Amino acid sequence: MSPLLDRPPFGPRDDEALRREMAALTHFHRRACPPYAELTKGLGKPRRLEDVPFVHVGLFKQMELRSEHASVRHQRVLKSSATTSGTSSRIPLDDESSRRQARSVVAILSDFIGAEPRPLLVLDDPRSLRDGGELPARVAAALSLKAMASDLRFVLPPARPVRWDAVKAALEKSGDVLVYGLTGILWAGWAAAAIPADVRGRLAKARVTFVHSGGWKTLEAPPVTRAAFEAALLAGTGKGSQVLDYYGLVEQVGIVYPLCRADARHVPVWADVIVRDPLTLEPRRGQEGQLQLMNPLPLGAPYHSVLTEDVGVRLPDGCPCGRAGRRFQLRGRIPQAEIRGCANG
Amino acid sequence: MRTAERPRLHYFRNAAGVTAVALPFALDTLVKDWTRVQRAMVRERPAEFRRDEWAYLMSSLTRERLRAPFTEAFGEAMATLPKGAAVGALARPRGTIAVWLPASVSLLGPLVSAMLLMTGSRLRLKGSARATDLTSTFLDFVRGKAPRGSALARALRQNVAHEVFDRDDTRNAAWAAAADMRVLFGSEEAARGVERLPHPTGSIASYFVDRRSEAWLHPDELTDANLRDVIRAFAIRGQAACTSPSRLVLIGAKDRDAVAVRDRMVALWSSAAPGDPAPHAASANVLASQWARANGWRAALAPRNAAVLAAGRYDLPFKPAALMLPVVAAREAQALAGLPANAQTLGVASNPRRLRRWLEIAASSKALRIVPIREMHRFGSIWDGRRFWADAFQIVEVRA
Repeated sequence: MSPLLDRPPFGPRDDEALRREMAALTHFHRRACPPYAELTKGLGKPRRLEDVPFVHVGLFKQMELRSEHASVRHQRVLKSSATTSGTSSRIPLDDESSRRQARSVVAILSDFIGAEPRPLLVLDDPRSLRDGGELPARVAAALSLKAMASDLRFVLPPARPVRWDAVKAALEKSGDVLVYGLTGILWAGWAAAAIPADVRGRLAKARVTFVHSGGWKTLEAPPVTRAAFEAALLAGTGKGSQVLDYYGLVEQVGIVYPLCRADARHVPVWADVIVRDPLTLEPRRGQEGQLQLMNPLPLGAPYHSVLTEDVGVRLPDGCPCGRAGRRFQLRGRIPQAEIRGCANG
Repeated sequence: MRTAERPRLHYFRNAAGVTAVALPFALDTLVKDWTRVQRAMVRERPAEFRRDEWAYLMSSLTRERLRAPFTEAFGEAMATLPKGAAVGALARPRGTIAVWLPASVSLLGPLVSAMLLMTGSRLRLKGSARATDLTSTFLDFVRGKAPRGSALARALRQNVAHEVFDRDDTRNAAWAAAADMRVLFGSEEAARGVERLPHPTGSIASYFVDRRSEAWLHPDELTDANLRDVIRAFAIRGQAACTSPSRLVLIGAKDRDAVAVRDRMVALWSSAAPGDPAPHAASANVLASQWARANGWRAALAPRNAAVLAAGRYDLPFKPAALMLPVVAAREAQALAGLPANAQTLGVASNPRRLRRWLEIAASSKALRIVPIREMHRFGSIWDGRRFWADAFQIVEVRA
């Protein structure tokens, strides 16, 4: 278990300790994953966090990277939702890493929404769990909140409205509930839905914490602003209700980057974000660039340091929201361009 | 061709004799109009075109390039027909040519429209809604720059129609039914789809489907100039163009030579292909280089992540990535046997001493073109093994 996990997530940073853990983990994966050893061949021991080698996030779509070691007990494979390329990332999960990752998510989110257990309503379908040996990312995201839940209910059957009876039942048990969904699903299934009067009555007296992730792509046409999204969710809910948006990816399972009220994404002390120039891969300070994300949690595969296709900018440490440490703004994806050539029909 | 107008006769002579070519315009006049447009292209470039694409188009519209297909098909132009000279045949525009363009951002539309316009046939060009339409942009530019009332302006107005629709549109069938010649650039599946459409008996078809090309160099040809030619040929479209080298094969070299050539190409890259890649392309190249290294290739990124050059064994599996060029060594027999089934162009060093060997290889291999590397993207009147441009004419036997 990473000793950094014992610290408050947004307290003072010890980047030297993180570097040591990242260097040790890089060494471990070089020995345990031959393709990773090949692609990092010739690179020395990282002397700075910027030197920690990364795996491009797309490589997990193109091949299965897996670290085999006596200490690693593999479980299921975490699968991202198919992208425009039609392929999914496949991330092997293992017992120890899963424990670390669950602890990490709880620590990070607790700082934003409190740690007290409460009923968790997931806008998804439980049948998503039954996918052979694979775990869809959106279910994994929901299950990562399980440790914060006193009770877990999946309330959105496929192609049907939210099961408002189940929502009402949860609200009858507790006046304080967590609701999780992908951003687009939460909008369509809850914010834009006609909520039955009896449920509305319960919601008005409840503290509802909406947690969402997955980005705004599905809300681009017609565009839905963050303010409109949050206002629609919070309309008619009780005092203390809130909406929390976090950024995370399958290839960095266990680390989420919640958006604070000062519009910044916060990085826990056991993770780091480096912004790189896409053309030179040199680190950039104060400028927009491609995001490299790292954390010392995963043993099952070398996804401890990944170069994403997301674009962002590091913000100065110290946030008006009161949290210390590293923070950044997510600006979107690297813009894609059309194929130019003749080799398709 | 508008039959209402009296065709102009132009005469060409080759070893087979004199051919009269009937066109609905004076060839010299049309060529002059094109060169005026070309001059305007020097000053102005629509934003949809990249600089290298625009330069390539400009170089395709010189007087020499525009006249070359006539010379290749019919011989040297004759200013007049000498008294008493025998004419063996008359070539006349085939009629209506329907062209299905690829569903990618492609220069084929602009190139084909300019090239086929010179045949005097009526053109119907089908674009795709799935990609930025360079053909419309180019035709609008030419319409705007062609002198008012000129032969080119008239030819564009009367003989060129460009429409964008998808593969389920009823216009596909209507165009096939009315075309004297069907031309398609795209996949085998798309070609089969067009071929299945009812079409007139006696009409002809040219389908240009996905193909792969290679560049071959011998150890004595590994000069900086030749390696720069490979870089330029590859950099413009990478693996996305059938005329790009999909790999560089070092004939008669060793695997370790491939690594040395890779390093030389990395060093030469910026001088041969200046300019920055788009960020998404740079990122895709980082990904491709990692895939390659993880799978046994000795891959290196070109400066500013502009491409991936990967040295490896000839038979090492390769996953195509847009801007990744494998560099491999092979014996000639191995390279010949390893040409893909859909081989198109073999780019070679310009070396007249090897001409006979290239002829032997052309006679026995699947390659459809063997040309200097710097000419890999440059087509004359022969496309994919057929006299495509000449097919746009009907040949009429005429004896007095």
